[in-house]
Amino acid sequence: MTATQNAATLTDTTLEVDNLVVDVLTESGWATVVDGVSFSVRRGETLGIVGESGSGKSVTCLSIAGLMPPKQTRVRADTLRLLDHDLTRLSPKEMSDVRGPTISMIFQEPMSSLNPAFTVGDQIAEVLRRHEGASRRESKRRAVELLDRVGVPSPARRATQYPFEFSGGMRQRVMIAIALACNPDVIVADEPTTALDVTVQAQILELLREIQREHGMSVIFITHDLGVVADICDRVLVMYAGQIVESAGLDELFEDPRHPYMEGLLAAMPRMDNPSEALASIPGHPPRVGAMPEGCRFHPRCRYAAEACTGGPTPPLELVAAHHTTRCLRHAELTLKGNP
Amino acid sequence: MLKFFLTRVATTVPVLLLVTFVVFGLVLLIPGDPAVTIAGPEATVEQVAAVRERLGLDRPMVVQYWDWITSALSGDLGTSLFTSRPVATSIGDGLPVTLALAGSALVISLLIAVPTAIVSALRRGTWLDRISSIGSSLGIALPSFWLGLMFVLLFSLTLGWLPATGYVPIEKDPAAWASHILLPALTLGIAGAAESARQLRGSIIGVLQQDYVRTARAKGLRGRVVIGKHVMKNASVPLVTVLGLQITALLGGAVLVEQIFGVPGLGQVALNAVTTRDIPVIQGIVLVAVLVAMLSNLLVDLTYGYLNPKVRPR
Amino acid sequence: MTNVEKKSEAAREPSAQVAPEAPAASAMPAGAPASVSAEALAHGGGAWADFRRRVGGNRGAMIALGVLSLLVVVALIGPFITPADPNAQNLRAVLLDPFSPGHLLGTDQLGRDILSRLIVGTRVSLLAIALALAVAMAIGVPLGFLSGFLSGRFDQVVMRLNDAAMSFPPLLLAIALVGVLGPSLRNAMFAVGILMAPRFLRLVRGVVLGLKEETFVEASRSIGTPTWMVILRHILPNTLSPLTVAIAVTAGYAMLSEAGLSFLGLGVQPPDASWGSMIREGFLYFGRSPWLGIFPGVLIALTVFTFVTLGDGLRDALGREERTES
Repeated sequence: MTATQNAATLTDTTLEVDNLVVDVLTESGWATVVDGVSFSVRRGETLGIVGESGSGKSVTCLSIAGLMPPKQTRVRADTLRLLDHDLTRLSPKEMSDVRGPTISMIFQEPMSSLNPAFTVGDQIAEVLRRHEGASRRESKRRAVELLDRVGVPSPARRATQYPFEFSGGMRQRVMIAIALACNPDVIVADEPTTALDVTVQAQILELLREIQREHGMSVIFITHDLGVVADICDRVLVMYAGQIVESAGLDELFEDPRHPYMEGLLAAMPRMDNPSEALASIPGHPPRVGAMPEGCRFHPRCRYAAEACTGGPTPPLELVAAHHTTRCLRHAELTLKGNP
Repeated sequence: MLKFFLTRVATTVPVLLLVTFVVFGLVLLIPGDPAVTIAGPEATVEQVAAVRERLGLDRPMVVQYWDWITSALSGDLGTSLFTSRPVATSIGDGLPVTLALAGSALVISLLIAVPTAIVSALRRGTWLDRISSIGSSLGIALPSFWLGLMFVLLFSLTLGWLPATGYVPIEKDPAAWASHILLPALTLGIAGAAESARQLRGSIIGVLQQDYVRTARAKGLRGRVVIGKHVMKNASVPLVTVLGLQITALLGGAVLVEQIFGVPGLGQVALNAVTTRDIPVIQGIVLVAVLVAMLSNLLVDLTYGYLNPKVRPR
Repeated sequence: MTNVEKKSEAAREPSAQVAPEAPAASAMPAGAPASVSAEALAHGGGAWADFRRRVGGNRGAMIALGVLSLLVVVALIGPFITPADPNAQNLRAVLLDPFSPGHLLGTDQLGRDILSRLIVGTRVSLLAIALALAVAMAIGVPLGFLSGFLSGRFDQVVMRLNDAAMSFPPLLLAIALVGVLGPSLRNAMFAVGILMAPRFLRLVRGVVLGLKEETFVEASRSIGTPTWMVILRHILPNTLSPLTVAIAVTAGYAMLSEAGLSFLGLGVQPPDASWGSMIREGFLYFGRSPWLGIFPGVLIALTVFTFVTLGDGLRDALGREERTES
């Protein structure tokens, strides 16, 4: 495809990923932790990526942003396109030009994601200095504005304080301010509310929604909490053992899941007030990296597993409806229970 | 910050008091009758009496200590038993030289340690890292005085690049000062460099795994900003604590190095005093050295307050 | 407790090798690797077997132990295997080059056999290290135990003493002590031992303080066993690992101090030889016969290097040198 042919989609799709494969170096050699993930995100859309820890959802996004440790990671993809940047061809230095103004990240641990040795204001301002060449004074002024925007009270005073003087929720607001600083086209939020308590969680989600409405950027929202997904996402990818096992629009996915794993997740949902047990209703554990089961990777834990599921290559991702795919051999025979 | 400083000073006071006890108590450790021992085996009864009189050894201990500490506070550390020079004068001559030596050694050790640590932490597991880690183990293992002798052998006697011994005050001739101080300072600084490099490498590796370093990268900051700013400020915290101990060690190590290179510092004075059992001089030097060590540790701790915002109450 | 003390406790090198990360989950940057010593702290039983298993698996530590055993053997049988009398002078055969007939490593300025002097020097040097370590531990271990156990005012006083001891430039205080007590190897190493006592004091105090918080101490106390008995029963297994590391590291410093003091003429006295004093005696003849200094210097460096490597290996194998301080 040439650039001109792409021009039409450029206006709409901000991020396009095709066949992303990520290997990491483990004790026993290279192991594939993300295996052929493809998806795209439109402007103004919130895409949820759901999965248990270790399903590869974070690695997917960190790899796209070039944030995996280079010596211990191999990233390959047929397409990795962020606006008009071909990310597969960017040098680390060019990649750092993209991070901030085009794609930015919000991480899970607001406690440890801010540098304890610098003031909050400085940590926001340095993004502006780096990418927009703002002066020291100008960047400081805008840092205060950003703090104000994300709902930090008395921002001018708070800008001169250190992270340890902030509560968890306030720190996450600071993280959002940092991510927002250069008006990126894509924000990746990696479990941004997991470490927060429920009321603060709701406030942060509301803030993210508001900001997205205002700026119209794409948001990729990584979480293991289906409640949060229902709250904020438009479309959802479900990941299991390094692969996408199902993808659909939010309502369709919840009402009519087509993969037994998703059914299991939904069945576990009422217990989301206790996240550690949220997945308890699916027996067993996800497979270890480097020890992937033959056939369908989910079959050892699947109550519907048939002979055909236990061997041969991993089943392909099949289109079951418009914008709805699943990686289940038996999707046509099964009637799975949703959670409308 | 002021509060931090004041509490820090306040905790120093009892320690300082204990130190003066120890320094004063050195006299008590002299085996047998101190006056006889100090005056020497050939001394007459009159000479012994004179020594006893001069050191005030015939008076109660408390009085002796009080006299000693009060005159020390007014800058009078007594007079040498052999040269009759005021101790404070001898120290005044030697101290600037030792400080210049120790200071240069500290600078050199950091100039070696910081780049080495950064490179080996970033290239962890490579041959470069391995070489520098063996190098720093060697730097710790090699006795400094032996290293100094080897430097003299190589750079002065064989290659003739630098003077082997002697010292020129910096205010007299900066270039000559530099050429005279280089080898001694390098000798003195190498052990510290090795230790700092090990320490710093470890803490850089630790900091590199922190989430906030990933955040800094996610912001698109340049590699050198991520390392130079976000990593180094945090990684320096443990280094600073080691530096305090190192400065103290440098003041002691200076004795050996001054001896080898014929640098007329405090160590030379101390060594002469030790061979002649010139107690007032020994006491004076130890006291001054401890004071210098404590003062530099105080300064180091203030740096610590800057590096770690949590310890400075606002 | 001041901040300043706290931070010096915190100043430990994070373990040199970070454990290779487990696959997917930790491909996301993980936190600090878990300290192995926490595990060692938790239970006393089988500590010795555990210790042997872990150290046995560490190549660096095993090589260092091998070199050290060799040095100990040389120290023990040294006087019986010297090719010549180490103190016999021969003014007709001074400053002979290495590989001279009858003198494998040559002779010094008085015609004494260098190899023989190096061999007997081994015993002197190792004994000096042992003496300094014994003094340091005899002061540090009980004081550290009491300080951690009694806490309160006693602890305050001991810690101030500890601070005072640590604010002396070590070599300088040793020189002063030797100056007052008179130059001899025993006095020198006694002084070095005093200066190293704080290392052990702080270590043991930290372990005891940590133990006091442990649940099994609480539990035993609730069934009526006195706390001190519980702690005493657990102190040995729990200090074993950190103490071994500290001994290895401290031994290296003791070696360097002995060499330095002997070089200054304040340690071993002629005609006895230690490696440090051999450098002192050969000092003036270096220009002509550099090996006079090179041989003993290399041996000193090798010994210290062995101790440092042993300490590193032990620390890797056993977890970090324990410096918990509440």
